[in-house]
Amino acid sequence: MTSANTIENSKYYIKDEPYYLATGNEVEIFNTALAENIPVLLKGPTGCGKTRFMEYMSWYTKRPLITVSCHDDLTTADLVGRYLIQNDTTVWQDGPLTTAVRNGCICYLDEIVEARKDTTVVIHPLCDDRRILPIEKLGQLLQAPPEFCLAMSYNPGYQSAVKDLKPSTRQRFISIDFSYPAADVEAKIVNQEAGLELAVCERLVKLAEMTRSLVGNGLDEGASTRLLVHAAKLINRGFEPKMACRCGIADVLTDDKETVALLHEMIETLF
Amino acid sequence: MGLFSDLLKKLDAGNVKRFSSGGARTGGALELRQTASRGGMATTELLIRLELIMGQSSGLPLMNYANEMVNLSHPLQLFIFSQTTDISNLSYVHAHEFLIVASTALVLMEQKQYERWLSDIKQALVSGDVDSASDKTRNYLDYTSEIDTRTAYLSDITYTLEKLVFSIHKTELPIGAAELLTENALMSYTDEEALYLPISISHFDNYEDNHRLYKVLTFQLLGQIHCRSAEALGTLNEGIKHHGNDFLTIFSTIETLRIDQYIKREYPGLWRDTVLLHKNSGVDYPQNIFDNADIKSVKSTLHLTASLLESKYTLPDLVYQSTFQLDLMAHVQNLTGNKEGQPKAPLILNPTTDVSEEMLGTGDPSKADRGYLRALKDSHGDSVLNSPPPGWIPGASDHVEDEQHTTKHNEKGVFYYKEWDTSLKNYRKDWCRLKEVVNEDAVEELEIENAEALRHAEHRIRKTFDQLINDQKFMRGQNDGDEIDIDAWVSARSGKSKDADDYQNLYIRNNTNNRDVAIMFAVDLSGSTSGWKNTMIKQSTWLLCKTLARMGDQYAVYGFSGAGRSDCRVFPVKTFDENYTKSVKSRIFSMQPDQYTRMGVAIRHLSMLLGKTTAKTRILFVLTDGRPDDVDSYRGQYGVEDTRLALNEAKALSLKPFVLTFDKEGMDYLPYMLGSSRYQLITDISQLPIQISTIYKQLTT
Repeated sequence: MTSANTIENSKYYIKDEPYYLATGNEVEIFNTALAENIPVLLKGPTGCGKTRFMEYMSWYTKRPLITVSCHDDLTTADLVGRYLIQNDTTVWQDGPLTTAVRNGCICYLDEIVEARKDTTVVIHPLCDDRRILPIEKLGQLLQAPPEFCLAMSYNPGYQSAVKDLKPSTRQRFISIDFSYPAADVEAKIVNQEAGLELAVCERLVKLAEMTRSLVGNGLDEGASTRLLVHAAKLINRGFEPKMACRCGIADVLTDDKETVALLHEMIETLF
Repeated sequence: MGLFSDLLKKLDAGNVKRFSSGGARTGGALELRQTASRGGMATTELLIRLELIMGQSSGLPLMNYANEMVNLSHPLQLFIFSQTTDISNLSYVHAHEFLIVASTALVLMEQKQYERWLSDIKQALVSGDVDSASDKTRNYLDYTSEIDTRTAYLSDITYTLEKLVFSIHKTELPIGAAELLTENALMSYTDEEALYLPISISHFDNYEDNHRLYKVLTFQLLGQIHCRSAEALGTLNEGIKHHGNDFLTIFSTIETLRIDQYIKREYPGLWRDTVLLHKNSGVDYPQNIFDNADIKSVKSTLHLTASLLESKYTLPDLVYQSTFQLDLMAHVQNLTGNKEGQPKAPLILNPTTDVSEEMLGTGDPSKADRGYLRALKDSHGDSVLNSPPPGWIPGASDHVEDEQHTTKHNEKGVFYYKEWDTSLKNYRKDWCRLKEVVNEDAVEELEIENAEALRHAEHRIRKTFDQLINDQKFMRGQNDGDEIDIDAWVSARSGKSKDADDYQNLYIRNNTNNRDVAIMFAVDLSGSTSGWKNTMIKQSTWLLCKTLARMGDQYAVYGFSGAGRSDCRVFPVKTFDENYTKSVKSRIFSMQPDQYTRMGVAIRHLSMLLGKTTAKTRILFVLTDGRPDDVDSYRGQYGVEDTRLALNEAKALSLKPFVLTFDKEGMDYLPYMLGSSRYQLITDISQLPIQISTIYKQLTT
């Protein structure tokens, strides 16, 4: 049996500063959590900047970032590792979580509630004062170095009974709440990301706010900052604003004809 | 002729000879409310109601009118009563003239033509032109000559406008029809609790501009709220006292111009529409009237009004200028706590204010009842729509504003649910009273239990479900998984197979936790399921419960039926909490055809129960034999729309609704109600048990 336990850290470093505009004291809280070895839970609607924040913090703290996009087929083996067969022998392959622990990286479990509940439990010993990762198949207890940090994100807006965190998982973290930024900040973000004139960005943000009012009234979620950036990029490339908003925002948000018509009406009102 | 006649023909060809002829048209919502069963009032009841409106000893041939109305559906009969009441409030003579032709006109006209006809009659009466009103009433055929394509109707766009306003204002501002208090057909106003707009607009000669005008009027009213126009009340009263109504007229125009600035700044797209209206109505718009003025405050409007009083400045005649009514402004001041220390003006209750009080009263189910359809009153003068279900306590729903369902009076097993009224484009709150009726009679059906044919069906169902159970265990020979599948590796190494793919599939995947299903079977127990259908329903439910017990899936079975909104019933056959027992079997066999199919409230209740489960996949499985149908107008488009909304609400709860129907006409409405792939039609009902299990497998894997 051979093992491939080390990674080339350079692959996981964020070299260029990602654009991130802090809206509160989230940077300070995250830094403190790193210093105190407390895992971090990022809560917020889709497209509000959670992943971008992690990239920014990775760059800011100069620690490699390993991101795992969780899904409902994600097993413990997918996180911790498994034996693979190569030629006539078996080779242990670390999973991303084990890799992050061994190499002192930030491990970011994106949309953790999507993962199976039995999978989530594997992180428990890693998230309290023990900071160990048991690897049953290797018979090892891996001690996390001080540089290691675990962060997870989820969207509480789904309001689904099955997509929620167990209290036993929840209570191992400190939480940073990411809601949509204030209108002027969000307009600046869109302006920076897409390079579009600020006045138009402000109007896009207004549209987003209108769609967010319709949550529960035809929409599951309002337009995210990410969608605004998409629409802004279309406008920047010469598309007519109304068309860009339809393609980039309204038609993405829903398939329901009545709601789409209503979104189009909003666009007509604003542009 | 009109499409009313086509539907009436379908309903009862024998009774509608005088109306039947001509080809079909499409459109119109009123007639769509008619469906498989008319359910209208009988002649005697109609006569009594007509006498209550027109007077018992009026000497009018009311029996003739009742005979004509008897062929109409219940909602259309109510519609005629409400319109007659409305017109009689303006002119008794014209109400009689209307009654003479009302039923015939209803059959001959499209909905929009009919509404326009009524609107023209009322407008003529309001403006005092009684001869014109009589002419219009008698010459109703003029309105049938061509379909009006230019008029925009409030009822068509209320939904969109309300949602649009909500998205900006963040709280609900219902939109209702404005009372015609002046000759101005475009009169619109607000009391900051609702917006009132004209019932229809045909000011421009094209639909687009009329539609545009609706939107601009709406935003003008919204602008009045956001720009705090009502704060001008004190000064306005003083101004009127000294300068007469000219002060109010000039103020109205200037304030409209100030709100224009707000629209221009905040909603450039709408401002473009406004400019188009200026152009198309030939208005010379004053571009710089607010130069050097603080347009953020209504004080600037008052200053400008005062300065323009003596000048010869001609103000533009804006087509979208909304009305400022002092009594409504006073009402707003009272609501907002009389800001800026303005003297409180007395609250004058005129018909308009009364409307708002009535509509926006306190937690009353009548809250949803607004607009011109508010006029759907019964002959006692009480709103038909207002009458709450038995057991309703006025004001009690204040505390449950956001609750979808409520229990009141501490009645055990009684719930109140909202219902969507498609004509109002709004929910009627706490509209349906639903009771859970548990049947604990011990019933045995040895004939069903011992039926030979069922053995085969049971075998098939078990086989189907076995496949599901097997799917749940360790999956060998996978290309990815938790463990190495040593057997697969040995097999590949030993060369039993030369297939190179064997080396790709060397893992075991554990799928134990993948199956996490809760399913709610909602079984339609309306009267139409009697006989053979009921037997098949019982057989299928029994087999399903028997075989599902071994699957480990959570499941519940409820029957539903009822008669009217105050007597909706669900029959728990098996709840999620109980296992399949003898008493469950007994309840299955005691399922009997009941009365009608008020589907929306049943779906809301069962969705609520299903929503409480924690399964990953939650399915609401509705088994029915026809479209939504109940006695009190719950049929046709009304029933379909409410059911569609109830199913949408279920989807919003992350439930997956599915409808299995025996109704051969189901394809006419199911795709609309559910979207694609969410329903299935069974043509051979004897296959029901096997079909259910097959669909169950499809839905849960």
